[in-house]
Amino acid sequence: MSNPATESAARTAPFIDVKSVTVRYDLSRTGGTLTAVEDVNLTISEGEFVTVLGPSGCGKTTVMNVIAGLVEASEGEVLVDGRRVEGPGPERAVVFQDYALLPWRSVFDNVKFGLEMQAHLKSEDWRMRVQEAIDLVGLSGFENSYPRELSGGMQQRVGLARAIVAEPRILLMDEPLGAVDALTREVMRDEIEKLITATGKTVIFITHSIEEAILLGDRIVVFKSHPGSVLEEITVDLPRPRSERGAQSDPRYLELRDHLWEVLQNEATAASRGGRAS
Amino acid sequence: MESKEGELVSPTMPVRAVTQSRFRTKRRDGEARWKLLLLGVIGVILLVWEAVVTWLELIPAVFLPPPSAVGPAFVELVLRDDFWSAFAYSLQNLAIGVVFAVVVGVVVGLAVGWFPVLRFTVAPFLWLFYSTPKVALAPLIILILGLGNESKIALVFLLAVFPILLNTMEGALTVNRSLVNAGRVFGANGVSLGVKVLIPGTLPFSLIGIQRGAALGFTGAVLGEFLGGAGGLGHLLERATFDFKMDEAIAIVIVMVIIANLTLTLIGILRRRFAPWYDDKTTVSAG
Amino acid sequence: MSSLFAVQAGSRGSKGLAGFIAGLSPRGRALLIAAEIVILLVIWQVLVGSLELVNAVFFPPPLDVVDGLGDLIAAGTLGQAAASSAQSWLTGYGMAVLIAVPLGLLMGTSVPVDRVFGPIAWTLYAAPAVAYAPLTKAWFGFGAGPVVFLVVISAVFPIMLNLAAGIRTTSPSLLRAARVYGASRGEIYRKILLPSTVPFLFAGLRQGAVLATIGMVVAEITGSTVGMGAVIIRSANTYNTDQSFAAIALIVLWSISMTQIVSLVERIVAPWNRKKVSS
Repeated sequence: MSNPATESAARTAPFIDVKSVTVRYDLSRTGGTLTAVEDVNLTISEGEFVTVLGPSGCGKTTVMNVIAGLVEASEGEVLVDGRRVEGPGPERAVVFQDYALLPWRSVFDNVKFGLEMQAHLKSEDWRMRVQEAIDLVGLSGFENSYPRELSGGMQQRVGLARAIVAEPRILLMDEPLGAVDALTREVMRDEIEKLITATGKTVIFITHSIEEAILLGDRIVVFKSHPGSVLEEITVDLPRPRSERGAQSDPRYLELRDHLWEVLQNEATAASRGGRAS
Repeated sequence: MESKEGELVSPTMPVRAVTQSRFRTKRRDGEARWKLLLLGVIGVILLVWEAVVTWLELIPAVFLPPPSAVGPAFVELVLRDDFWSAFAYSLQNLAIGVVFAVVVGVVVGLAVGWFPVLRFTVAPFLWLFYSTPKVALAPLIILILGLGNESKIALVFLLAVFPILLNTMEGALTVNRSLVNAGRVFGANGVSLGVKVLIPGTLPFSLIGIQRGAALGFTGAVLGEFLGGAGGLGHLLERATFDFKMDEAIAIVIVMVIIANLTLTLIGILRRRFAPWYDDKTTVSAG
Repeated sequence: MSSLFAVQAGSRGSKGLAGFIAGLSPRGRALLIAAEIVILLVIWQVLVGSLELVNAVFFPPPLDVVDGLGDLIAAGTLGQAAASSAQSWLTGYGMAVLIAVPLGLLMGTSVPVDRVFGPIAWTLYAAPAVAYAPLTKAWFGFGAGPVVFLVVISAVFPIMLNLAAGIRTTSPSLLRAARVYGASRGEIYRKILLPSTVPFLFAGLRQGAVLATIGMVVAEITGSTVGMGAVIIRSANTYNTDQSFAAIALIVLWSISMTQIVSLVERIVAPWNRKKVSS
């Protein structure tokens, strides 16, 4: 599971293919339109862990929503495994930044929510699967707690369990650690790396943390804003698991970090000068 | 968390995706079309009302006069001098009572919100009074203060003061928690802390309270006029129904509906003017 | 004024009386409030009853009010009046819920209904229900009819508008999550919109209960010959204000009980939404 990205992408058709996607929003107040993302092209192969890095409001979430089938592209299309995305589907699960847990459901029932509408409940073992997912994210013993009784980090573990319980092939993570405190954030980042790279899922992980982008991604896609589009793609060739090997002192890591820092810095300066174009 | 206390939040959503919303049908046609539709629906309601009473005669016109009778009665009403003196009488009592309620409500509300001792000892009583149906005291107030203006003003005050007081209290409490430390960090102290932080921070809450208080105060004014005395719109309305002039009575009710809504709109404008930085959602309106 | 502002704001830790009270358990605080009530009643009794500083007709002292309650019970009219009020209240409130819930759900989910029906509902909600009192007397006579009508018209709008607002303000990210995990339109309605509206519904029900009581009292004191309001009017007109106060106390008790019942039901129906103790 070291780095299949480049090889497999060369051989087969891409697993996720984002083809010149543009998304425009109408501003009902002024009557104008806002171009959230413009002409985004992205190919991702199966099993690849792609981190999407960019400043807040650069449209990276919009692209993820298009892949999830939550937002329709104004132009262009997304193909998953050769099929055009027309809406949400069971092979794509999402972990939301604000957790999006149902406050009236216990942890167990929230995780069950990931299964119940896909007819999985007909199978006998759904209870076991829910329990397994809960155990996997380390929430055993909290099955009957309500979300409001849990810390942010624990709530996001529930979100993660809900996403993986139906065993989707693709995991879309929208700044999942954005609202979690710094310490928990590092712990969970390392857990996500171990947990997910072991399952071989295809992951799109959105973040604005350079550290997270490097430590998690097989490849980093850097976004720019106004309108959002791909600025640069970088393959990360650090060996896994990075959390245990002290990757953060690897000279290659430092090099990448400095490079990304510079790219984002330039982009931020340009954006604050140029203002909002549309 | 606050919003679950029952605050009614404005339905407008600022941005909507062109193709995003499959759940709700897509639209971006302007407000004008909704206004037209609204007018159309009101027209239909009036037409049905007219039809049911005048043409189908399902309800006797003596009980529910049709729009074609209420309309002329309304015009006749607003041309009468005694209507305008009744109008002035009611509004004067309302205004005086509300002003008293604002002064007392804001001062006491700030104090209770600010001093923890008062908050723990007095606030529970205030909540208790707040949820008490104070209209039940109306006959006693008439008994104590007589049939003149005083009893009406007292009723307006009594009904208006608690929403103002409690909203101000909640506002001061919120400001106390969040903003005051920020103010002190930047060197505000004593009076300047009050002027720069406490008052502007509490104002939006007070204005919400004043909005609700004025609405309740109007109830107080009209109720006082029903119960005794010879002035005001309430008295006029009571006399109209007593004489079974239902068209005039309905016209007076319409006037009252207009007054109530104009008052609310006016204070709403003040709220947006003086506290535009506050979102509706952040204010409380329990009970 | 300036001393009011000069108080140390960050000092709500452990100073003086406030610190002592803040440190009390919820039960301790409840006891404190109970003690305060008793002290207040004693002061009232002493000032009006013993020292006669205020005319006892205007503010009958607590013991007189207890006597008044006894008189009302002895006269035999109380039971009938209370039953009439309770019946009108429950009938009206029930009707209001039956009308408000479907309309509120419709308003919350349908944009056209909301845009057209919403302004009309808000306009009527803003108008004082007391204005309809004389009309209802002309329509329904002097019995329980006007009372039920005013209860309905007072309670229906807060329930309806809160419910609609609850549906409209359902967190968009919950709706997104539901779509991601395959919810159909019906499932979104059943599994997301309805449950997330529950706190709003109960807020509306509580508000509606308070306003329903106000509507009931208004109808009963403006000319109806039935119910507790009529008892207040009758006793006040004969200067038996101790009886009026007793009747008012019963109405207050009713109002508080009804809101408490609504809250109790909410705690049972929606245990995930445990309220912080604020009121």
